[in-house]
Amino acid sequence: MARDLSTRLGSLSLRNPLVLASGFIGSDESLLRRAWEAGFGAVTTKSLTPKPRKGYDPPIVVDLGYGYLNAVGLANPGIEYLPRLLSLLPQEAVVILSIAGATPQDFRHCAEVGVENNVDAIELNLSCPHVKGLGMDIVEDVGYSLDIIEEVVSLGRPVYVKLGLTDTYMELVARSLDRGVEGFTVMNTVKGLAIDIESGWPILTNVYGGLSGPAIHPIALRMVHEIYGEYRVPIIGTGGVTGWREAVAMLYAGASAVGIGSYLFNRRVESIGDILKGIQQHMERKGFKDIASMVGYSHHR
Amino acid sequence: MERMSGGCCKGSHYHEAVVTRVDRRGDVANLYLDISLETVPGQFVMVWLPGLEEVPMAPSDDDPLRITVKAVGKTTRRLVGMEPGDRLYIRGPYGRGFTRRSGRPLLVGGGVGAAPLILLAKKLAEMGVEGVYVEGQPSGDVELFIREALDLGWEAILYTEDGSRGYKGLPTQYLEENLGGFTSIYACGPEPMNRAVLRLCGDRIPCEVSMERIVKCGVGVCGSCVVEGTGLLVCLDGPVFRADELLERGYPGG
Ligand SMILES: Cc1cc2nc3c(=O)[nH]c(=O)nc-3n(C[C@H](O)[C@H](O)[C@H](O)COP(=O)(O)O)c2cc1C
Ligand code: FES
Repeated sequence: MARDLSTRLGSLSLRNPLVLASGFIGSDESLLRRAWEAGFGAVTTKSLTPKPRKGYDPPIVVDLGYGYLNAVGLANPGIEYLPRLLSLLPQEAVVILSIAGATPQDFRHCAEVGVENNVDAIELNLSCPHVKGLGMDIVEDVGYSLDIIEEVVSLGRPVYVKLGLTDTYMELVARSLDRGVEGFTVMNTVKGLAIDIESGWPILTNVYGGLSGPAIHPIALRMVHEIYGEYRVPIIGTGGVTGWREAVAMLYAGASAVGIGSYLFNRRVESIGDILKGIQQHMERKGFKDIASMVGYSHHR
Repeated sequence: MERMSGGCCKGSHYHEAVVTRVDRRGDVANLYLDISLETVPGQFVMVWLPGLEEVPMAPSDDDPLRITVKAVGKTTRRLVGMEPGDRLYIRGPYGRGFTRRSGRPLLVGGGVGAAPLILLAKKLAEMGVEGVYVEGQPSGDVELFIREALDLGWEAILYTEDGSRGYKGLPTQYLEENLGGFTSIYACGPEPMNRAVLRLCGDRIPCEVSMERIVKCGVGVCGSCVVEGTGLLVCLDGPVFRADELLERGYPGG
């Protein structure tokens, strides 16, 4: 019998644990609809900023073989585009609005537009590694991050904080839970560099970019394990999930839902069906009756 | 000559290519390179000029590799101005190309959109297929591949908007008047031309159209190349689409 994949992520009910990660086909309404129709349990928008951003000139991605490096530069149509971005989704679609900005006021403004448009949750992108003033420099400053978090939590929607690889993320987790965030998205990309040895040039126009994909999976898994172990909070485990095995491992480490990003490089979004099928078969083989019983499973071993 | 097989340079390992010959016509240039690359006609490569940008190009020949560039921005202007010995960096091929069918095909190319079609004509001719190649250009001084199509033993017809050479008008006129004489249609050109082709063909005849959008990542994640309203990505689902799939998904033209 096919297992039921429905699950809970904090206050959200999902038809399955797969969540479209921010930055992947999430800035166009017809693509977002396609992602929902492909079967995601929830879709996250591209990070929207108060004003539209053009982003960097290509090359914006590098395929390393063991992962990807990107510097898209937060290209997005701006928060005012949100009503249109959501316009083709059915009522029942679960939408996580990702927002980015430079100040607590930026975040508050974007979050307010999200509340007006009835998004299910708000994800704070505090951790983009390749745009100065709009990312890593924020999450590395715990006090400033908390100012932003307070502004947005006060609007009353579930808030997820997207973490990056910093020395202080456990401190940020503890203190943002005190401020009332619902959970965490773990993790964003890790700053890196790729050089073309034929020409000698750094490949990305922005020089530095964010590492994603298989290369970061063990790091993401460790962060999820550490946070869940300490706090038992809702986590969207994201980072190098490129098949059902990594998705199961994320759940075992303590993620309630699993973010899918780099899996979509060079792949049609419909192929997430393979991950869902793999999870289902694993549940049958191992005798798990639902997703909830897999969440944090490795902590009981 | 270095020979790259299809997909060998996936992963952004760029291949350095040296320009061996430049054939300039107005603001368009054919750049002949010192490498060859197995591609399906209609697929594209990413061409990178370090310090400038990376742009998608559907090759107009594969052995040796040749790209056909029109100067529209700073990167393409630099490409058009290249001289033998200049270097560029290539990864790919990416995307989905044309489906080769036997029978009697009509190929309709507009502007530099003619590039992948002349490669398609060559591959079809190698299969023993004989068809008609129609090229539309703003004026006769940028006529690109009529001679090459004739050399394949095909009929080749030029349309120019200013009437300076060939027939005066748009290449879709030929399609409109002769649609019934063919078993499949292949097209690549500016948006209005593609729309006209889709309108004329509908689901009456197998028809494939190569679409152009701004390609930034080239691998289906950034969304910049979406065909508005359809959920289709030019870099991943295309650049070549079947007419029926575009029309079904709500692309205006039907
Ligand atoms: C091309 C690209 C664009 C991204 N854009 C965003 C973004 O706008 N906001 C965000 O929070 N994360 C963004 N990310 C990070 C992803 O959401 C995800 O956290 C990261 O890629 C790790 O997951 P993965 O290994 O499955 O890709 C982006 C990643 C990539 C590769
Ligand atoms: S160019 Fe990025 S999705 Fe096609």
